[in-house]
Amino acid sequence: MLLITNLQKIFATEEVETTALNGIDLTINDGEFVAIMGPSGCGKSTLLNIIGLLDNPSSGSYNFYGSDVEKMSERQRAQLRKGNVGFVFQSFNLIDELTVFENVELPLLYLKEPIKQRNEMVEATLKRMNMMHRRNHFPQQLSGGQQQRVAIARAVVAKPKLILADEPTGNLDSANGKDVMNLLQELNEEGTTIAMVTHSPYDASYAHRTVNLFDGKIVTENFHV
Amino acid sequence: MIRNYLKIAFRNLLKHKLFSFINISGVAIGLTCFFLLALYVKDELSYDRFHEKGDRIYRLSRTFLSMDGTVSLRLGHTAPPFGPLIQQDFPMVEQVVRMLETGALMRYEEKVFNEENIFVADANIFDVFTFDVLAGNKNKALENPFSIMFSKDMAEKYFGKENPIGKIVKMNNQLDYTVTGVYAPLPAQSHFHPQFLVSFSTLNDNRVYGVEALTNNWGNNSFSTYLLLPEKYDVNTMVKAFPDFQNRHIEPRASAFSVLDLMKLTDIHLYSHLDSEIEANGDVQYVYLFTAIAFFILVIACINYMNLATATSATRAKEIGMRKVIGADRGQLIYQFLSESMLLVSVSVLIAILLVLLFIPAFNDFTQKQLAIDSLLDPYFIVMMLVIWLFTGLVAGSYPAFFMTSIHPLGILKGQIGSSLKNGGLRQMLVVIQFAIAVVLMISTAVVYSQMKFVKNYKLGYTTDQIVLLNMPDDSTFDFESVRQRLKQNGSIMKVGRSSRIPSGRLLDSWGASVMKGDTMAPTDITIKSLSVDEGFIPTYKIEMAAGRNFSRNFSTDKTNAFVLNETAVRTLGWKGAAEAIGKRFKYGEIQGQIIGVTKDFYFESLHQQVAPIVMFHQPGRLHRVSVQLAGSEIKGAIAHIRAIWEERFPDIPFEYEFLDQRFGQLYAVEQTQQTLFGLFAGIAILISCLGLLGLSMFMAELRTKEIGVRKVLGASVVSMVSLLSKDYLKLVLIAIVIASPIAWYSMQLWLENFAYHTEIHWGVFLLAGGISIAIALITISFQSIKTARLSPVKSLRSE
Repeated sequence: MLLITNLQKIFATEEVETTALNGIDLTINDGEFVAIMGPSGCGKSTLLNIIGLLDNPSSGSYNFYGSDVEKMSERQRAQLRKGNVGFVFQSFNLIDELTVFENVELPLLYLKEPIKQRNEMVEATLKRMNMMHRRNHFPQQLSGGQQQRVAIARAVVAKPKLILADEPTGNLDSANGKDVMNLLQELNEEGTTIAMVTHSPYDASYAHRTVNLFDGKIVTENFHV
Repeated sequence: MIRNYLKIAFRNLLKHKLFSFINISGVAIGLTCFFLLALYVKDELSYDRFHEKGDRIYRLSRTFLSMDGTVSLRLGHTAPPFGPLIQQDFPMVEQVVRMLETGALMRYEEKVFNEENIFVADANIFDVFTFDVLAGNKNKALENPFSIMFSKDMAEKYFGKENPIGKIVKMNNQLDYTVTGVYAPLPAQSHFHPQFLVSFSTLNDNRVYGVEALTNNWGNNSFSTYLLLPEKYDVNTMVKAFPDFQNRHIEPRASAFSVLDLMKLTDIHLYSHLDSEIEANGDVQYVYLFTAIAFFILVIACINYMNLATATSATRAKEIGMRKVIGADRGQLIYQFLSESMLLVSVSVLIAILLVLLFIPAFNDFTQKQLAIDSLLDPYFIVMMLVIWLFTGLVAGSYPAFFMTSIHPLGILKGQIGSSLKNGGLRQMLVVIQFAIAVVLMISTAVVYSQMKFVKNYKLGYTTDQIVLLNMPDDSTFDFESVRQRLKQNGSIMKVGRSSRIPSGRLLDSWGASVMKGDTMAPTDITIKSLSVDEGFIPTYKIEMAAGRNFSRNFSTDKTNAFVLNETAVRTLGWKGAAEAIGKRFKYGEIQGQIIGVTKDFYFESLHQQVAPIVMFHQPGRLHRVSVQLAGSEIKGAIAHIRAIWEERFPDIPFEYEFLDQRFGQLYAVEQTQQTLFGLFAGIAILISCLGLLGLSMFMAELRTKEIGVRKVLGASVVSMVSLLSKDYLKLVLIAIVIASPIAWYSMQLWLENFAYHTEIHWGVFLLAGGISIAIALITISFQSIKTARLSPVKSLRSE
């Protein structure tokens, strides 16, 4: 379970202070699928980064599966992130110099999985994403939808408890977008917790719950049935 | 994991071909220079280390002091009685070996050659020095008089495949010697290279030297004397006892003019620069200099890599960010980037080794070394290569590794890295260091060059053109005048002169001089060097007279009682001018006479030395150097003429000659080599720096594409864009010049002090070096900046 209480995030430059998040209270239960919506600049991505342990809050508390992480160093957060959180980005962020297989394999390398398990896990994930036939291709040789499928494969290969998706369909056409959403839904049904930032009400309709953010505050929460 | 790293490193190399080329070639060139210089330095440091007892062998040297206590002559050779007396007086001395170098005409049946490097050596030479005796009994071979051992090369030259042992050879057409052994020639890294070893007992024969002279002749300092001492013996105790030792044996106050010293065998090559040495030695200064240059070039190459790697890291930013998001910690990323630079350096090392193999012959040619390719396989060298490989890889990779991985992953993914790269203070500093090194090397080259020009154009006070030098036997055996007349029958032969020494050589002989003080002849305490000449010497070299006249055959006393001094001698003796000296009574050694002439000063020795006071007089039996002045273009005919006369007069001696200007070139051979080396390395340093600058400016242009696009949309011209893009780098090069100039000035000032006569460092040198580096940098940068500035703004904006 993720438990966020009175969370604040302030970006300070030399001259201006910007409050990106202001008093957020949010609980995400295990197995839940949460969509985070709101206009540009409302703090959606900042919230997602903090949830994904990429960033620290300025104040407030955050309990990540039983650990208080708000005071953790980057190193400690990286350690906790490894294997527990998978990320899917709008711009895929695959590494161009690595093949499909190698991209997906990367998280397992950092988890120091032995080679046999690694190969099995990557192959299973790629089969599941229907990308086995592309395993030796480089990202640039794939379509956008295929690239995002590889990115999802990379996010899930280590079987994380939590997947964070930042506008995963933003760069895709509607058919490919639907494909990606179906994949996420399947993963969620298998028990993975998902938090997703999106602009699209259609994508949000896949979630159990939509959190609406405005100027760094949660304004409404809608539950879907 | 390492496979993943190497894979991605390799793919990156292929993807950025130009950058990879710049990086790899820069580091490879740097490493090539480094390895070549390392081979050179190692060779210099390895002299005489092959002797098993090398660290216990010491060479005796002797310094003569003038009456005023100043050093007049420092000799690596000593008189023959020293060796046995030292052994007798200092019981800790285990062995003493004496060697006398000589040359002779060597004859075996029909084969006759003029041989140098004949060493007359004590029989126990093999107990002290390490020789590989291939034939004969090393304990007995040099025992009996008139025994001779041949080096393997010489044995093959004279006897071919025959067994040399027991063969009889004749030296100087006089005495017979029996071959008693053959040994392997000493390696190049030895301070002496005997081709023949003759038994020392031969010298006991009065026809050769004589027992009397061996025990009494304290003045013949032509014997090399080596002592074998016990391990951990403090030589200072012995050196401190030497003054008493000399006073005991030579004369009561001998230590006032003669000083003995010891030098460790393994130090001789790099640290001994006495007035007499067996062979020209190296100099530890060059070892330091080349080591410094080698490191400088390597540093420049590493800086290139660091700069380019950080600059290109923007394209790697997404990868790094993503790796961090996935869970890589900083250590792992540092490890990744270091392994990447290690890979690149490995490729460079391989290329460098190939280049070294390719360039070793040329480098050998040039440094007069015999560096062997197999010395690359020497364990020390392999260890050094591994160390350098690690060092270069770590240094080159450290900055990108630590810099890149310190950036927050979110920042990278958001593209903030670009702006932080544009103003890298450290990178600017690195460029300044690179160019400063290059400019120092350039200024040094220019100064060395202008000094060499200065030397060549220096008015020596005599002619060096078209003078042929011959080495004739003692004139007591024949009538030289008739030879002179025969020579002059050829129209191209203008003048013929004889002397004991020739210009470009050293003036080593001096006796005591006396002049009139009041009513009596009083000895002076001034060292005046002696030069035996005949009446033809001064005209042959066109040496100008300042007062009086040259020797003449019209005055019978000129051959026995006449002296000609140079101006320096006149001045040091205290006379006001040349004219005042004429007619003065003068005594030199045992010869009494009159000063008949004074010459203007001429630079007999090299410009490294001050002009010494010189006295010229006729001394029969010492005039074996013959100088022949030619004129016109019929050189070949003239030489043929000389040869014909030679072969008629001296049928037993091979005809050999050399030109004075060639000898002159050899005087400054070391500096000539330095000049070329400096030029070469300065060029390489500039080349590598420019490669780096090229890569860097290309990359910066890429980073600033958007800025350039916006500026163009707003109406900036191509010219203003080019100056915008070039300005920053020019500033760095200017700073480099400002830093480099005083450093170069100071170090070259020190170098010039090696010459007694030297040029001043002209301010133009700095202007020139600065101008060249700015011009080269500008060309390099504009290559890219013009291209970028001309890019269509639509294109440059879209690429963001």
